[in-house]
Amino acid sequence: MPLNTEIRKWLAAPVGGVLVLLIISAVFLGRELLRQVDGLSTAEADNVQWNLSQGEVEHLRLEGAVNAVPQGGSLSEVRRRFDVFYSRIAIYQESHLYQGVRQDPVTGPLLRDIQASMDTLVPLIDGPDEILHKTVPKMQELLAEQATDVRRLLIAGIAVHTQETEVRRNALRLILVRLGWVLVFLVGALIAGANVLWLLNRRAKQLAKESAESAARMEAMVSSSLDAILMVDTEGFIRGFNGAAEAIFGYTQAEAIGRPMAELIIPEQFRTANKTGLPRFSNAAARPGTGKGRIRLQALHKTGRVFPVELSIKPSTSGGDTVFVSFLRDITEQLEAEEELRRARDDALAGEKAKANLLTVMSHEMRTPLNGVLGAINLLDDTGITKDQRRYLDAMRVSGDLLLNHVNDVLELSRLEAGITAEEVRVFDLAALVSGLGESQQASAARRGNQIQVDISLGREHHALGDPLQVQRVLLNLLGNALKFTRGGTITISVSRQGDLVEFSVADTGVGIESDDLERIFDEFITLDASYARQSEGTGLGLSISRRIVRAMGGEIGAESEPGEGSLFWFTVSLPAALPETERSSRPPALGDVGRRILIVEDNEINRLLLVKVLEKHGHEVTSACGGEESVQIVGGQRFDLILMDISMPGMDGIEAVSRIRRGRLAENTPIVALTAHAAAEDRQRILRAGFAEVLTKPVSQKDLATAIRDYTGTSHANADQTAEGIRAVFDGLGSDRAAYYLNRFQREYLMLRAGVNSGSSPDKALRAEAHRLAGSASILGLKPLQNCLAALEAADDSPVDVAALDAAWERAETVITAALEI
Amino acid sequence: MTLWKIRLVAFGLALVSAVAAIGGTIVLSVDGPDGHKYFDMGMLQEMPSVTIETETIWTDGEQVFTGVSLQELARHLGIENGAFEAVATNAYSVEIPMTDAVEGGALIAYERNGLAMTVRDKGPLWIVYPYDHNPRYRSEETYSRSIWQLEKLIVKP
Repeated sequence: MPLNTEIRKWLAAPVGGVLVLLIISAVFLGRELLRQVDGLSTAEADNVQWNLSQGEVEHLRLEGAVNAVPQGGSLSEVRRRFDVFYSRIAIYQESHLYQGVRQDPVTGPLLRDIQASMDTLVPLIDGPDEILHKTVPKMQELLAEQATDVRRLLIAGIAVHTQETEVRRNALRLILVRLGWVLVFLVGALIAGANVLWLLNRRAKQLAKESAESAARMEAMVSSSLDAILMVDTEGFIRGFNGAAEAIFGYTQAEAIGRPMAELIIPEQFRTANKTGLPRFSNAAARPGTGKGRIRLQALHKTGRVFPVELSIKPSTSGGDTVFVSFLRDITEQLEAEEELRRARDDALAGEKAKANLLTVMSHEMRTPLNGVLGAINLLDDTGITKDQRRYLDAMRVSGDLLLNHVNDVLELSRLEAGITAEEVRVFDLAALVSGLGESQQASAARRGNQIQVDISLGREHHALGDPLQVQRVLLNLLGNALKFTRGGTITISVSRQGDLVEFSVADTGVGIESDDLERIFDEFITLDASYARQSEGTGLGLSISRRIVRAMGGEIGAESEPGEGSLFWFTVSLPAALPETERSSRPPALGDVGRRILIVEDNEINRLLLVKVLEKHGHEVTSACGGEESVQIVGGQRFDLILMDISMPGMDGIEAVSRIRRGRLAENTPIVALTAHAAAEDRQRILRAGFAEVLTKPVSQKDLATAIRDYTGTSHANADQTAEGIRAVFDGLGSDRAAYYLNRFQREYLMLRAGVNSGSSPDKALRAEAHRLAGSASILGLKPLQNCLAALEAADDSPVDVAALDAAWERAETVITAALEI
Repeated sequence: MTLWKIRLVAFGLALVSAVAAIGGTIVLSVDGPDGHKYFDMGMLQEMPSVTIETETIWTDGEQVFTGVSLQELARHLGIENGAFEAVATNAYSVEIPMTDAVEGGALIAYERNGLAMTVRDKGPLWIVYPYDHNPRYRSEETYSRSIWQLEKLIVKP
């Protein structure tokens, strides 16, 4: 039975204590015993019985001597016998041996009586012979009487003494018994101790055996390890060097052991660092956590080749002796493999990016001619065509629209991927949006025998602050999907509010989606199975775009479905309730004020033609140029209210052209608006930086055109009026107190930003971040020129800021803000 | 007859010569190989004396004994081996080996606490041992040898 340490500890104290107690008892009892035995051997007792009986004998002799006097016995004999007897009595009286006799209730008085009567005889004995002679008869009588007393004293005295002896014997016996027990226990304890020792010895032997075995195993492990194992002492000398280390470093064990590690395996340029670093390193390694760490270092081969190693190091301390045990591995191949992997990954990513770029470029390269086609179709419509021709034209328009939608989807996705969300946050009528949406899709629903139900649970809070276009886009997407996958069913659009959070859901009674597919329907280019593909038309980007939009708004989107029963798509976004914009005028879309002088710069002939026709139709004075170079020439000789310029043109592109115009001060105070199919954010910022006032993404709607013309060609009053509309929306949405506070803060923040802007240098990161934030605010306030200038500032990471433009924009914005605050 | 007479005369002469040297009462007679020797108190007191302080089991408290050591007496008598048989007034007798006649051994005391001892007081001679100084003497054997009212010593070979 191996004793474990715990039990041994637990046993040691009591066993030791008992042993000590036993030994103390044995010593104590032994001493007591010795004392008692000593008492026996020193015969404290003398021979009490003999002494007592001698008393009687001596009394008899005295009596005999006295009795002999009448027959001629000598008096001197009487005196001698008296003295002898008297001295015996004296011993009884004096000696402590007879204390018991003296104190005994029987013998005590007897002794005292005898002593008293002897004392009465002393004067006679010591007196002259004649008197002694005369007293003989009296003495005879006395002694005869006393003989009984002496006899009684003897008998009782012996009894007393026997009793005393008995007591002492008992005490001795008790001690002997105790000593016996102590010895029994002591022997027991010794046997137990011997047993424990035997067990400990056996255990120690076993441990030694185990230790030897584990040492052998360890030895085998170290020598067969594929990793090099090095043991280095605190002085930096190698103490252990296994077989793998021989293979890795090229030294034999005999060569390596005892040599300084630094000299042997550390490349020269790292040696000093290592020398000073070893203690620091060992300290670091000793800390919990860091000891686990693997370190990559350079190591030196015997041949002088430097190669990378990965190592872990741990201090091992035994008996105050510290060695550092280090496991090393040659990672040359590993590093190569990693490098290869990294390259492969980079290549793959680059390929992916190139593909995405191709897709984007292809898409907007397609969009420009497509625009042309669609525009031409519209123009063709007005040219008095036959009924059949109109039917074909409609088919063309439908196909064209569909194609445009696809292209737009792809572009939207890449736009979202680049992280741009042109947020247009304003107060809008949420209820009207949802019901309008249902309304607009009724016709298309009816074509497939579907019904649309709208369930609006917004209470009285019909208005909300947010981006209605994005909400509409997502909702339309979901509704479109529901319509696509449902025949002769019902589609229910619901909207409900929970505080600031608005939940939208679109439920259909269509084919439904397998639960496995639910996971991935939001991924890109997903069109599920063949049956779906047959029923559906689209790029499969709709849900992916919806998810991106919802996430960009900080919301969530999800779907539930039961195959064969229908699906439910939902999304939640934060749309705080707001007061309606009562004063908002609902102007009919018009192409702004008439009679503006507008220059169109566009290389694509059809697009150019379309734009010219559209603008002329609305009474503007339109000039056109087919390229950058031509535009610069025209601008030099003529004055315009507005220039609309395409960006990507062969030869001199839009950016170059604008730079020349601005540099040459050819069109001072004439805003130039960019027309581009490049929708990515970086493009937009690049364009604004070049000196454009605004970027319109192609295809440009008539409404966008009208807004641009109004914004950039109106009188300053018209400008103020227009921007004040945005501020009014803020007042309506937030209430006048909060709106005023908001405007004041905006003013303050802008001025602080302006103070940090230097015309000579490019803005730092913090400033650009602040510009981004204020650009957002300017957008909400409808301060478009200021927003553009701030956006340009945000984008100007290594170019100087156009301070003049910024100040001009602020001047205009300030007029509007001040006016709003005065109301 | 003549021989008997001569013997008697010789005995008488010897007795006379032995006793003639004694001025006082004989307190100790010694029967030795060379005949009888007698000692009165004066003779004993003239010999080199020894004083010991010890308790005894027969007395109460510390006692001071003065007397002639048995060793001194043996030397005086020219005895080196054998033993003494000591005889007391009450006819008690005990054998004392010569091993007790050593330095710090048995003492023939004639004074106790500075006073001569009477027969009534276990005198006039009392063989005592320095019981307190030597535990060997606190034995029954030694106590039996501590003979009081000593009258006679018989030298045994």
